[in-house]
Amino acid sequence: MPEVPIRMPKMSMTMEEGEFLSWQISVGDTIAKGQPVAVVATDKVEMEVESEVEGTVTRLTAQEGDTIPVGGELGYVESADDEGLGDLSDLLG
Amino acid sequence: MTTTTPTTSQGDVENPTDGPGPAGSPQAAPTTDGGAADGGRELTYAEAVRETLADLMDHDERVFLMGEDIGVYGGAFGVTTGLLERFGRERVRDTPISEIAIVGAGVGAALCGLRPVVELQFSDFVTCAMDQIVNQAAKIHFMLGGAAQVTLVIRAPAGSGTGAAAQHSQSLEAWFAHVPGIKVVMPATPADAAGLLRAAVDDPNPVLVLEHKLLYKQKGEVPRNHHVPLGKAEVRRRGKDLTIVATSVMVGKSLTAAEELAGEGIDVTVIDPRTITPLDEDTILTEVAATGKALLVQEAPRTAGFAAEIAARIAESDTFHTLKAPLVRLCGLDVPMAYGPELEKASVPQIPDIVAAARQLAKSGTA
Amino acid sequence: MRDLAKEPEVARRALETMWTARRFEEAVDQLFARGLMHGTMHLSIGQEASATGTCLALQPDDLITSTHRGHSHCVAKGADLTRMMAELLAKDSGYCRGRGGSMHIADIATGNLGANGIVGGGIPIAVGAALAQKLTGSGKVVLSFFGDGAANEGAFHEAANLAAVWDLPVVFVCENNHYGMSMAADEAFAIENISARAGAYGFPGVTVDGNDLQAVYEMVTTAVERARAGRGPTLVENVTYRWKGHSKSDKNLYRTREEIAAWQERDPITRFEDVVRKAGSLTDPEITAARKAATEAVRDAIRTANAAPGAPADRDLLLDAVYAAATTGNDGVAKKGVEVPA
Repeated sequence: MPEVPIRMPKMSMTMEEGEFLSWQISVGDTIAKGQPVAVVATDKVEMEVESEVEGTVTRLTAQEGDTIPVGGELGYVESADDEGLGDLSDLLG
Repeated sequence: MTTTTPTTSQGDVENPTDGPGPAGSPQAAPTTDGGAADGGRELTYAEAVRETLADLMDHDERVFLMGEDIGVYGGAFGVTTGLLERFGRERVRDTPISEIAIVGAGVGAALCGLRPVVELQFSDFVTCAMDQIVNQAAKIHFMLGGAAQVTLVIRAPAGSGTGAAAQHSQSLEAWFAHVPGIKVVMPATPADAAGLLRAAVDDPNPVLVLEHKLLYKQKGEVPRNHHVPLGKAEVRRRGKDLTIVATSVMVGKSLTAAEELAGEGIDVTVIDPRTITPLDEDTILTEVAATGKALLVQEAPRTAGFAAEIAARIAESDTFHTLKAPLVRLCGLDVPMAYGPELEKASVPQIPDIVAAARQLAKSGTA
Repeated sequence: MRDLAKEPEVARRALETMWTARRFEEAVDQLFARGLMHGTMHLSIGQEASATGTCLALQPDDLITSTHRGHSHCVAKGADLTRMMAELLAKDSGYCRGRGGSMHIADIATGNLGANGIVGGGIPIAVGAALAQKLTGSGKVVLSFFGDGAANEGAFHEAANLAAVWDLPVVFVCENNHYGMSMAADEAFAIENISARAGAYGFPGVTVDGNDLQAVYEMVTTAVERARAGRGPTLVENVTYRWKGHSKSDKNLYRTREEIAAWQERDPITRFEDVVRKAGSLTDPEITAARKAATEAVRDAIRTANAAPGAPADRDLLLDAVYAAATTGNDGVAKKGVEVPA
């Protein structure tokens, strides 16, 4: 089954990167679409990152203190969802 | 404005209107030209606008009117008198007091291919409709990547001199000159009132037509089917000593001042831009360069008024090198328009002010 | 009045439209999160039945005006997904050639007079468009989408009144999703139902469960018929809910996760799927196929739009785009007869 990245989201019009703070899930967890999975900070404001897919957490690569650009990969979820859009990377050339 | 001495009205070409009160004596039906000849036919400014609206509605079913009291009442300044009887309620539409809806409905109808001419009862009421004018009408063509046209004309009586005080006397052309996407015209004569209106209705862009209230009763020659292109200034008088650029009611005052100055041996050019945006910069720069002295006259308050834009265009061009003296702006005071007649007169340039400023400019700087 | 769930082709089309709107918004959400879309986005996830049920009640050449949260209106009105996506990606092939963005997408050809970045800005424009239909005798109806927030703008009141006094063929559809930006509707209104405001202007108003596709369709159809028959405007209030924040900067501080979750349980699209299953008009594989078709359509749009060239940052081009050039060449010789673009 395909691994879909969890990405650093752009959370404001001017945000270009965020600081990774903590995971709210562990490898092996089954998570739902929309479920909060991590906390990141941008402009001193903390925000939750939500999963865009349902599935099983396979890898968590981001660590506390990492600075990651918008769109950058934080971790991975194995997703069986074949009706959803998917990661979109394959469409973006 | 450089003087505080009370001005007189001798030699003024103003004809005070009845102001915003109830209409005076019933007005005659729209003036028509009995023969085919264009020459020698005099109409008032109001009659010229009325006739043009009637002509346009006669020949183009897309044209219709909306506004407050434009039907039975004939318009606050009598401009649309008789049009309801001639064209009916579908095409001459009295509206509730709803400037947002009036202008917005104009935008919507224009987007659907019609050519509405809406009237704001006083140009000061643009403030009530600003979103529809500035954020909608002016921007839709651009925002939609050219996929639509807002073929809307907004007519509004502007300016002071009728004792209507601060909220009914403004000259706000500078606001709209600053909005890309809308065109602004200020006809100064009956012929131009007709010609610019025709061009405005013809133009596929939104056009704001600012008609000075004091000009409505002014008479002038108006050719039939007159069309004045937008964006073209008119040199009303050519002289060699200095160049006046004046708008709206200040054109006539400047011409009268020019006559007086001629008597003193000061020979003055008077340019009427006619269209504020798009501005006929070339004519202005050429005529200013020819004399090297520029006097910019407007009724609107000085600070950030449109004369500042004209001044900047002169200053940033090669015409700058032709200047023999700093350019001069003669503008309204930076005040809300006061009520009392003498207060009102003191707040905007009068003929003696123009004469004095021109005389001063003629004497100053290099020959 | 047709039963949308009972006719297989209609049900399939309705589902596919709603899923397309949903997937489109999800794609926008993702692409924005990835930093690929500029500005901000106002997503209508959760409101698909309101947009779709409403547009199903219109003829193809009826007109709409839309809002800053207008993607689903656009989709439901038949817009080209690729051109929509291209606009959001600031491509030259976008609806507005990259100059309008999300809040200004219009598709004149399919009768969408445009989304609007000003709350309430489109309502008077819709009324003017309706006036044009009346003056030209076109028989078309104009439908104005707006939100609960817009119902407090002066533009709504002036436009509603004008439509009423002139008996214009316009339908006002207020999508009450319970919040303006952060202000709850029950704090912004002293009345219970926004539809009550119609009575204040002299025309009928009705409140509907905006997440019930059939209910929305029926109510709007009635309103559209009224308008087309020359009996004037109606206000239909579709009560619905937006799952996502007002914009991409919204931290949802004004509502609870529980509230959002509760509404997500009542997904208007899966709700209609259940109705369709019960009606027996589509099988489960057919329903799944509709979902997948929507996903594929949106993925195709992304692929194509993303590959297209960006709108050129050419200053002269921008300057030229401000004013329309005269195309009809009237020369003061005006024309008889009205030409209203389709």
